[in-house]
Amino acid sequence: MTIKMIAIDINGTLLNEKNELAPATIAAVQAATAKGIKVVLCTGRPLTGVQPYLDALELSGDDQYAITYNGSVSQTVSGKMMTNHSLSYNDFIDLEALARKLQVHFQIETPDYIYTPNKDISAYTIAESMLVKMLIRYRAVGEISRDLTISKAMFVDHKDIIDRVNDEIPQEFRDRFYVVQSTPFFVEIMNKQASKGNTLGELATKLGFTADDVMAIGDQGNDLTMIEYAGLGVAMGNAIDEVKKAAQVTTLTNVEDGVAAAIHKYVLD
Amino acid sequence: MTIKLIAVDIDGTLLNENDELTPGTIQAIQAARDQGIKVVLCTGRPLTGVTPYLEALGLSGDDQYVITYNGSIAETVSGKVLTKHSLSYNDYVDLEALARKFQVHFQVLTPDHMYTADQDISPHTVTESHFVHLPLRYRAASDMPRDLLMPTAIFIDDAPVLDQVEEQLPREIYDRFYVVRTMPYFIEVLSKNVSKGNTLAELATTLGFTAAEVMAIGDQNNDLPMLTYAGLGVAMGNANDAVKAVADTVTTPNTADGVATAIQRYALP
Repeated sequence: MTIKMIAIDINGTLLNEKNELAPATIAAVQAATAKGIKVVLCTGRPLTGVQPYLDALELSGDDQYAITYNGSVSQTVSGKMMTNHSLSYNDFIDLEALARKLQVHFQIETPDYIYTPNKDISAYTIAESMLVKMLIRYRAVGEISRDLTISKAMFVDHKDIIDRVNDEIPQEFRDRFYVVQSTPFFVEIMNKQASKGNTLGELATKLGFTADDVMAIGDQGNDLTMIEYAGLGVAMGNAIDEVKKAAQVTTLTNVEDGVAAAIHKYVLD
Repeated sequence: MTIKLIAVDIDGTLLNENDELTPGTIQAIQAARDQGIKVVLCTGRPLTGVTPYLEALGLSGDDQYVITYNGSIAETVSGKVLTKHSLSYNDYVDLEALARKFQVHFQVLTPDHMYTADQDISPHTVTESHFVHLPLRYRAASDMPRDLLMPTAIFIDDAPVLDQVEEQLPREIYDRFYVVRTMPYFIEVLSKNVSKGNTLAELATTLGFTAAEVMAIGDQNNDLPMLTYAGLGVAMGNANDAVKAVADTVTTPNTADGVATAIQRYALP
């Protein structure tokens, strides 16, 4: 089987333990790209949050792709939308109302902005804005346009508040949405159809590939679906057990340039 | 003349080019402190933005002092306010209206919060809130309380935008307030009689010192008044020309422990 597309998770996979891109990783990715293979970064962040890595890997233009917001969105790295599983306006209304009942700070993220209806803006909204390099817009609930593409909603607050909120989210919300606690301060809520695996499959199909043409590399729970989808699922050496079990093969850890090793072994050499 | 009080600006003076306190600086300041010399940090920042440095320098309690908000507030390090100057509610109304005519972002600082009426929040506001640890509040102009202590109002935006604003601000604003461009992306507006120099003079007098017993060290235009007041005005090697012109002497730059050099040379036996 010839690999035509490589999907790579970022934290714990592409990046080493210092959250840096190793030179060997950059070289391997660039070698694959030079052969016409599509290297697709897969992240929980918006596109702006991974721009430095795209730049370092020299992935640019309308014919390179990224999967962002944990699979809510796939887009060209130049920002054109390919596939999209977003929250509806009614989802936003229900989630913002829940946030008020649970007394937790709230924000939504579109491909372009962070919106919050909180007049007292959370320090965690500020931190997220700085981390992913997206501007914050204050909008009262009634000012949010019905046409927005809402890629994810977030409850954001101090750790002890998020711990309480995690316990208090009604089961019906967990059934209705894809709910994941990504850090001690954030609960992320996405369309139930959004997953790295679903979206990778949709993107591959759009580009004329089958699952057998695809290699996926990851380490955490939110990478399971893409490792299961791909013809060649690769678990990092540092991956959780569930991911290793689901994968066809295991590579070295992210401290040992596991991504570069996998690209050399299964694609280049 | 024996130096009994050393006033030290923070950004570009106390801190090096990486915004860090070097060991050499800490040592020199603690040596001065141990000799009974009052080391007074004089900053445009709010107290929350200074506390980490006060802790690192070992300045604490009711008998160490700090001047914040470019002189709007003088307080003990433990938080007891000695003198305070505030903009009035009418000042806020006029300045916020002016910001809207100029289409420039605008915020005011109180001792506890940063307030903005901007629904599209400036990334500079986000950065400032994060770095000086002041929580951000969105309040429509008509929702601003009438009784807030507002040490400073800030036109905050990209440098080219503020260059234009500086040129176009009405003469009466310059007459009515102390207006100072403290950073490329900040034009600060304070009560007319506020300055680091005036407040330093008041503090020195309260403590029983004369100007001859005061050394002041700075690098930017908001340090001019205190360098002029002090018996020994010291410009950093990296100071701008205006500051070097009024100084009695120039020390090494902040990249080379200029503050430590000046303290060792002029204040320590």
